[in-house]
Amino acid sequence: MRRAMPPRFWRWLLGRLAGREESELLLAELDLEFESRFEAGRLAAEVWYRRQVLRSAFPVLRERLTVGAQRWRTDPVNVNERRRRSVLASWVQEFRYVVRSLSRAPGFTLIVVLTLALGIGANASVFSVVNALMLQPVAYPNAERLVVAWEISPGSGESYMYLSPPNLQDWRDRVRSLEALAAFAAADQFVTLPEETLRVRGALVSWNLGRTLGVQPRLGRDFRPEDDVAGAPPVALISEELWRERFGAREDVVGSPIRLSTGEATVVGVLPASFDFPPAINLEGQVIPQHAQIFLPFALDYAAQHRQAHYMTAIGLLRDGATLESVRAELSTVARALAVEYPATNEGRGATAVPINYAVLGEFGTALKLLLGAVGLVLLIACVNVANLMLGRSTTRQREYAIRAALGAGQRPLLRQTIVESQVLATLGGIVGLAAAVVGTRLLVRIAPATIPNLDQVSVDGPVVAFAIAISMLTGLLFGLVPALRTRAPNLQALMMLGGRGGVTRSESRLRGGLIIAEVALSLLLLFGAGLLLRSLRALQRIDAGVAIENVLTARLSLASTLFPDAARVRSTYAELEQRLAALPGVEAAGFAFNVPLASDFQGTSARFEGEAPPGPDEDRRTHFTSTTPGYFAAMGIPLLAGRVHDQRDDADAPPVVVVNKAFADRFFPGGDALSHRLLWQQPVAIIGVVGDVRLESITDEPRPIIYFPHAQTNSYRSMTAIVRSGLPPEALLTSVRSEIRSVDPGIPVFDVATMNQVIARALAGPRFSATLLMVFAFLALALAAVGIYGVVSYMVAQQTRDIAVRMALGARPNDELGRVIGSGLRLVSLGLILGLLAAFATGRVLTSLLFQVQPTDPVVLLGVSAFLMLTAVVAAAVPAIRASRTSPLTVLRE
Amino acid sequence: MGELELCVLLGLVHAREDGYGMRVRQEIEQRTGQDVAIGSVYVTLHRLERKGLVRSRESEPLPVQGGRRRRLYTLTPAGLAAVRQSTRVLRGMTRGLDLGVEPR
Repeated sequence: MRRAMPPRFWRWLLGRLAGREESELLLAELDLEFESRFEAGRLAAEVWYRRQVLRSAFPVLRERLTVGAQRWRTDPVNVNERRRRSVLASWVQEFRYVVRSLSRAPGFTLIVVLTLALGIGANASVFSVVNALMLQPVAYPNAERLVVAWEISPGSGESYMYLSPPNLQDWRDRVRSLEALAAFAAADQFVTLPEETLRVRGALVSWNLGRTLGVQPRLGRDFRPEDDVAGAPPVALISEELWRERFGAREDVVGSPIRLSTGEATVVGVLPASFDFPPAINLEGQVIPQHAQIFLPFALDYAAQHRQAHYMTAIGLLRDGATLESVRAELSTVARALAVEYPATNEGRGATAVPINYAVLGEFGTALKLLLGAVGLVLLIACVNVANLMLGRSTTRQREYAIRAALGAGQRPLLRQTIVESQVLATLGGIVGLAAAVVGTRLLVRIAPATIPNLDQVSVDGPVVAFAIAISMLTGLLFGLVPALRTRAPNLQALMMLGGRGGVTRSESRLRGGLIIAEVALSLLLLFGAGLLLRSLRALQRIDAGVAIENVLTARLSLASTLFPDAARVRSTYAELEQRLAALPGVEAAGFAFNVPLASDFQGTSARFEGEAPPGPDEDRRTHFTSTTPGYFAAMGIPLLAGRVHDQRDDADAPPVVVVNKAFADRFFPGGDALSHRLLWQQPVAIIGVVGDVRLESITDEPRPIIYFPHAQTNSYRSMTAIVRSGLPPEALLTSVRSEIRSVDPGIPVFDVATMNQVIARALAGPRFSATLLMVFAFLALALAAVGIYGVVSYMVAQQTRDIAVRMALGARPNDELGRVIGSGLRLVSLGLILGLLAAFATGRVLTSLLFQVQPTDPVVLLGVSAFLMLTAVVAAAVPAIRASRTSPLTVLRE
Repeated sequence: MGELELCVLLGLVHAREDGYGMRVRQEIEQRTGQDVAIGSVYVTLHRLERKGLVRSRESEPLPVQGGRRRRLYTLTPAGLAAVRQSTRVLRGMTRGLDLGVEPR
């Protein structure tokens, strides 16, 4: 009769739960019982069996997990008992064993933990920054549907520009994919309170900004359309901070008046503290009124403003279902239509929109990713170092492994030990690293430029800790691989014969060699990148501005066409303004310019000259141009090199003239006779002067050629930037400048005020910061690499002490041995260098955007780094080799 | 001592020389009507062994083809004493009570 078999799956399940040893007996008993029940009824028997399995599952499993070790203790001789050790208990025991053995080797443990802490801590710090900046750059309710809209100015390169009010209005009316288009501009205010007059950061906003961003006032009401028209009763929104600090958080602030420099306004609401403008750092020099305390509506007739007055930052809200592409397409179409309708102002102007998150991060995102890469390399180098150390340690314990293996310990316990050991070390490293990261992050935040958004959000919080835990485990796995590989099949006999210290087996030396190569390559890569950026940083700091830029204040003005309907009036107003500002007490010089270096990109064109054939298609005639008033050059401190600068004589009735800079003269008239030529610009224009180059005009190598048109001879520049050079402190200067401008006409807005130093700092902040950070990591990598390479090379050489001794006993000369050993070490290092160089070339291109005046293949850096690594290796090989060659061979062999 | 432990010990007493897990389980089921899981019985036997109340040994292989050895449990003197004690306690406490429980 066939034996009745219980249901297969359930039998198997119980077997797994009970463990191999226990289940044999248990299942056997159950089988027998099942058989006897089977005769009574098959179905009943199976049901009964299943129930037995289910109800036995929990007690059996619990027993298995918790008991094992105790059983071992009560019955040590019984081999079967020993094999019933529970899974969990054996891991716990291994853990205790590992802790004990690590504490017996404090030096090793300390070095490993510190090395790991360095790598993990650095990664955690950078990740905390990345987490705050990239993952949550903008926190508006409508963030996914928000875009920043820009005009694209004509000229070489796409440079984004503010919007002008009529363009904004037309875009609003014509772009269907945008549900709303709001705008804002920086406009600091003087608020007069009973106690004092404050200067506060302020912003002019369109009435629908709050609506567009999804922000609501916490008290009072938001702006309404009727607040944002010309002649509306002045209203204001204040920030929660201002409300608390200066208005005692009183509810009756709503409806109360507030005195501003432009007159009295009524407070209609309080905006919550959580609201702030999006930082826009990829537009160099663009001023965003971050932490604004007071918000006023533009209160303009938008359509009636001049189209050339570009000063509004526009944020659009996508309509439900609209995409970025549809918005962009519509914007292009509208921009083209406007160019046809208003050729004088809109010709060649494009339009585009960018998702708000990208706008906020822009190119800084690249720098961040690079930073992550760099810090990842540091961690890898740390891993390689630790792997080497672990390798060394496992070598000295070969005997112990051999004995354990001989006594019957399978591979599993050995593997278990290495896994536990590496994870314990990695965890310790992670804990220390996290602690270091807390400190490091705080330091990072303090030295970071203020233009980086959300800096106050950077902290070691949940995601950062999770990240640290993850990379700790990963790191543990990585460097645990090395000793784990070695537990595979220890050749017991060979190991016993090699003696206590363990000799160098073939596989081991190959492994070590590989590690050396990897370490050298990684170090080269990191040091190379850092070296490039270091040179770049120093070049940035040594920028020879070409001018003395201390004490120069800039401020933007805009003459609206409602107040200044014709071009002649605009010209005469700016001329008057320049005279009045220059006459202010304490002011050395004053002028106006359409473009301020580093604050906005100059317009571009190609140069043509009178009396020559039209330039061919491959001739590079690119040049930049801008418009200035006569006082600009003195105010900016630009020296006159030849001829003269334009002055009051060169007005609309006089012959048209221009001034060019030295770069222009050198480019187009290398013979030095620029002054005898005339530019072709709708009509011949005389070149009357050559001025010095202002290095600030671009953060790239060469100063660019620039043509300066006298403002008095142009028609279309209504928005200009005032440049005022004075010894007065900026606050006082600003006050008198504002009042002077107001006395000419109170309707002229003054905004975007900054000293030249601030402008430069803003433009350079990003690159400087990245370079500094990378330098820090490079030093870390330097230290790690040096220690690592030294350690591993010297160990490798020390291992060969016996070889050397034997050879010398057989007659080899010490110097030959020395040469041989050092040579083999250098060979490995060279391999690593080659590998690293290849990698460096491959990634060099990635760095170009961050470099300043340095080529990605800079030979100085390459040579320097390679030499350093080589030197380290030579020293590392030489020291033990020399020691080995000096020792008497007999001493070594006797060991 | 828990109830199940007591039952298992008493079951072993009933089982005499056939002190293997399944037999104990059967005893408990027949005498009390409780359908105890074999796993629980085994866990209890292990626990009793740790406490020193029972001991175990491997029996001869079953006289069939492919018969496996089985583990036989017997009470130790300590185990026997524990059972007597518990029984005494129970009898003492239940004497004279009418709980409406009829012995089988």
